[in-house]
Parts: sequence; C-alpha cells; structure tokens
Amino acid sequence: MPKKDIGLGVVSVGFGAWILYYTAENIKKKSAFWPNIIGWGIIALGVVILAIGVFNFIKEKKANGGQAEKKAVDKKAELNKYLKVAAVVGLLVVFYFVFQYVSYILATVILMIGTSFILGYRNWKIMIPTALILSVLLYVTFTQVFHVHFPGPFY
Amino acid sequence: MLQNIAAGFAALFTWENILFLVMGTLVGLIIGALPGLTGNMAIALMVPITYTMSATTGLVFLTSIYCSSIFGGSISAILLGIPGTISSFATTLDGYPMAKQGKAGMALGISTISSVFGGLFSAIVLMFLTTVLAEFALKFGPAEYFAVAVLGLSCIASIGGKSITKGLLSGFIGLFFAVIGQDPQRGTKRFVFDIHLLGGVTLVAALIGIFGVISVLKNAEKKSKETGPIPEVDKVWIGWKMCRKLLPTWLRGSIIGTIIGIIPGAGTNVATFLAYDTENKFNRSEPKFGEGNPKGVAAPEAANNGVTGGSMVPLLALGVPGNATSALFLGALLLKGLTTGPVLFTEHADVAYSLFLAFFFANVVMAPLGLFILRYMKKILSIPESLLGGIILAFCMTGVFSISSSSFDVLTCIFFGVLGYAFYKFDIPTAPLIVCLVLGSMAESNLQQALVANNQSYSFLWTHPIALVVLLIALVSFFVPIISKLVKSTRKARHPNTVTAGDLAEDTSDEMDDD
Repeated sequence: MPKKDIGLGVVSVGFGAWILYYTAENIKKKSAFWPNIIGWGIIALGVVILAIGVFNFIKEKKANGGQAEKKAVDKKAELNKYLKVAAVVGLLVVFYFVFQYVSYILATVILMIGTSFILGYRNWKIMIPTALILSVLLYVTFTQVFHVHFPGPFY
Repeated sequence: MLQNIAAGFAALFTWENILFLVMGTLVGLIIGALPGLTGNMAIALMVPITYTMSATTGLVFLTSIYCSSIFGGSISAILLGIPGTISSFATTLDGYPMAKQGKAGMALGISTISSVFGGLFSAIVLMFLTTVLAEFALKFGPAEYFAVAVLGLSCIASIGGKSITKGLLSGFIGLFFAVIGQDPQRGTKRFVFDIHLLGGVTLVAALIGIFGVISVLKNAEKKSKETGPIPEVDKVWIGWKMCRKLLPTWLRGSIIGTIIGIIPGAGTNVATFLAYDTENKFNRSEPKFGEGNPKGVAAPEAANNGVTGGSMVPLLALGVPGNATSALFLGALLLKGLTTGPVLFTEHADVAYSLFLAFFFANVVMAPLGLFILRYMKKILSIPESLLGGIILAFCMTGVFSISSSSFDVLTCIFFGVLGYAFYKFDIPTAPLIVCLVLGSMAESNLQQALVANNQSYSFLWTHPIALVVLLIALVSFFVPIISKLVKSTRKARHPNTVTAGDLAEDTSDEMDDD
C-alpha cells in the first residue's frame, strides 16, 4: 500500500507539472486560469499522497525491524491477472480497428468470444452461437432501427 | 402545476412509453440482480440507445432502469448473500439469513413492497420539491450558478471514499478533463492536441467507459467462482398484516432515503445503513437484527429506493448532479439538447413532469413485475459473469459509436475504461471524477460570465446574497465530511471495536464505487 501511494504521488506530481508546462507553452494567459489551478492542485495532492506513502513506508519498515513488509504474493498469479486485463484491453483495440476497416459483425464476434474466453468461459456450444446471434442482432437493430452507419466495408 | 401534471400525463401515456417503462423495469431488475453488474452500468449502456428516442421515452426508459436496478440488487443479496448493487449491502445482513431459514420468498416479497413504497414516496417529494426549488432558481444569474456549481463540486469530499486526498485528486483529474476543448468564453483551444477534442471529452463515452468497460476489466482479474446453491423461492406475497407491521419502518426508511438522496454526494449506501441502524434502534421484536428480522430488509430497501427520486432534485431544479447516476441522466438530457435547472420547467415542462410521473409509475410497474420475475431469478442468477463480459463490451462499443457515429468516441470509452481500472488499482474513487467532469465547465463558464458582468471583479461572491449563502453551504459541505472523518479516525483509535452505520457505509463504498 505505501509503495502504491508513493508511485501515485510521483505520477500525480509529474502529471500536474506537465499540465502547468503545457498551459504555459500553449494556452493564452486569459484562458489559463483554470488549468493552472488544476495543475497546482494535482501537484499539491500528489505531494500529500507521496508524503503519506513515505511516512507509512518508514512506519512499516520500523515495525518490521528495518525490513519493509513483504507480503506473500503469488507473482505468477498476479502477472496472470494483469495479463488478462491487458488482453481484454487489447481485444478492445482490435475491435476498434476491425470494426472501422473490416466489418462490424466480425469485430463484435471476436470481441465477445475473446472476452468470454479470457474471463474463463469454456462452453463453446453456447459461446459461439451467442456471439453470432447477438452480433447480427446488434447490427440489424442499430442499422435498421437506430439508423447507425458502421464504417467498415463489410457487414 | 395541475396543467403541467396533465401535460406530463399526456406525454407519458403513449404505447411506446409504456412499452419502454416495462422493458426498462425488466432490464434494470435483471442487471441489478446480477452481482458485478450495476444499475449505473445499465443506464450508461442504454443512454446511447435513448438518443434515437423522443426525450420523454428516453427518460422513461432510463428512469425505470434506475428504479428497478436498485431493487434488483436486493434479489442476489437475499438469495446469494452477494449484493447486486452497493445499495443492497445492508439488505444482505437480514435478507440472506431469512433465505437460509427457508423464508426467501418472504424476504423477496418484503424487499419488493419496501422498494415500491420508498420509490413512490420519493417520486412525490421529487415532484413537489423540485418545482419549488426550480421556481426559486429562476432568480439565479451566472454568480448564483457559479456558486451552485461550487456546491456540487464541494460534495467530492464526501463521495471520495476513505481517503479524502485521493477523492480530491480524482476530482481535480475530472476538472482537467472538463477543461479539454475550447475555453467557453474566448474559444481558446486547450489540450486538444490536434485530435478530435475541440468539442471536449464526450461525456457519455467517458461514462460508459467508467461504468461499462471497467466492470469487465475488474471481472477479468477476478478468479471465476461458483455461486452456492440458490434457495427455493416460495410464496412472495407477504400479506396485509405484515404490511401494516412494516408501515412505520417503510415511512422512516423512505424519509431517510429521500433526504439523503437530495444531499449532493451523500450516496445510497449512507442512506441504507442509516435506515438500517435507525430501525435497529427502534426494534423491540425478535429475531434480532442480523439474524433474519423482516424490518432489517424493509428499512434499507425503502431507503435505497427513496434515494432514487431524491437524487434527482438537485439535478432537475438546479442543474447540479449530486451523484454518478444523476450525472448519467444529465448526459442523456444533454444528448437530447435539453438543459437542466429552471429552464427545463419553463421550456420543456411536459418533459420535466413526464419524468416525475415516470419515477412514480416505474415504481408502480415494479411491484407486479418484480413479484412475477422473482420466480425466474434462479435461472437468471445462474448466467455466468464470464459469458456476460463479452456481451457488455459489445454493447458498450456499439452504443458509444452510435451516439454520433464517431470512432474517436470508441477510443475515448476505452481510455476511460482503462483509467477507471487504474483508479481502482490505486484505490482512487471514480465518483468525484465524474461529478467534476460534469460540473467543471459549468463552474468555469458561469465564473467567466459573472466576472464579465461585474467588470472583472470578484465582489459578486459577497454582494449577491444567494451566491454568498450557497457558497457558505458549499464550504460547510466540503469541510464537514473532512472534519467528521478526522473525528471518526480519532474515535476509532480510542475505541477500535466500535462500529457505526457510517463506518459500514464507508467500508462498502470502497468495495463498489457507486451503484
């Protein structure tokens, strides 16, 4: 937890500093009032979070006789967890390109089957028909009822 | 007013609206009942669909989803011991023990009738209080609206979860996203990076990312777990004798829920635990609270549906969303080109009154539908989350694209989903980000207009009495939660074993950001 807070504090200070830099370089003074307040606010909060993180880290270290608390974490399981999240985000990016340049139905089928598979669903007899039927249903509903035009050259 | 109510009735009672009222109730019930899927997510997913509907139909649809999803959360709370939404945490405490004692049908019946009672009560308060407030708000100028926006922003201290600093950080990040686009007064480009950000961040795309995409990302990192055996649901009608017995509980719960709902940032979980705690203090009957007392189900359920109407009061009367759900409603209204606040009542009175009536009739429809669908809940609750994940994402992406046929909105949605996940990992609440994203531009544009009207002088802050009073209330609203948290942590250090309703509400708010 303290390490997380230290990381968050550093990122917040950096983000706030970037807002101030961008504002100074690109935004006229009269329109910069609000962005400057936001930038300084984020820096101040980042410093507080950083200070709390460092304080808790030292406190934890002292309580454990000079050693920061090491939780028994299954690193492989942790990594697996984040890989799953990254894979879902990756699928969303794939959807973005496929639906735009190829086909909405294909993109949706890939997204549905891929996500369910990553989330641990393995019953293909249900997964494939569900994805196919829902994709076509969504396509027909949105194009015919809501008059949405999807950009891909195919359905 | 009677004329407006009649206009609202005429606008509401069309076949199309009744169909969407029933459909919305069913959608809300099912989504609310499924653990991991929230009512806000359901509303976020459906906002793009309402784009093609008339304003009244769209709002009727969203209202029915909102009301029934809050009730739906109690179904899994009672049958599985897992609350479907945050507002059902307190219901689990007595509902699940009742189900384990073979009284699942009775517990579900109580939760249905209690929710309907709370919802109807708050719908009536919504109609009368909003119109009075909105009439008063007709006197408002930019200075007063700036003060009201600050009042809305001040609630981030109370919706920020356990860490005030992280809540504030979330709020400031929300403000950053709110300034992206053009300066409202001068048209200067800010943080647009030569991409499609000139019009600012698309609110609905951001909300769908935060509520829809994030729920799937959270599921992706969870180990899929089997739900335990679901108890059989027997007779759900509780009888008039039980109704009479629970009437005082419903009244107290509804009043607490509605009042808490009106206060920006107070949240549903606060209302439910407060109602539960209050009822516990009034209770003289057996079994004890926590061991399957019917009042322990009735109080939080009346309170959480009491919040629904209450939470719309500041949004509709003043244009200030006090929680994430009302921010979603604001998004839907903006998509329709409607503005909230007094203008809604002067220019679109039929829409405003049909919305009030929709809150009322959504609860009326919920009673028979709720009691009917409870029989099939066993099947619905057995749909695996892993299968639903893909369907939710497909809905999110399609819905976001359909708002304005913009591929960039799809990217925005993905970005906010990932950002929401990062917030979740760093224990940063997302509710302040949403409120600030919505209110940031309102505060800035009204401040600039007030400055222009006052020759660039800030004197309007103390020369306009309404603005001054509202700003003072904002100060109190900002500092009271901070002071109360400090007092609580001092008290906790002295008496570590004492747990209050507020502590419980705070603990649950960390588990689920909002409904």
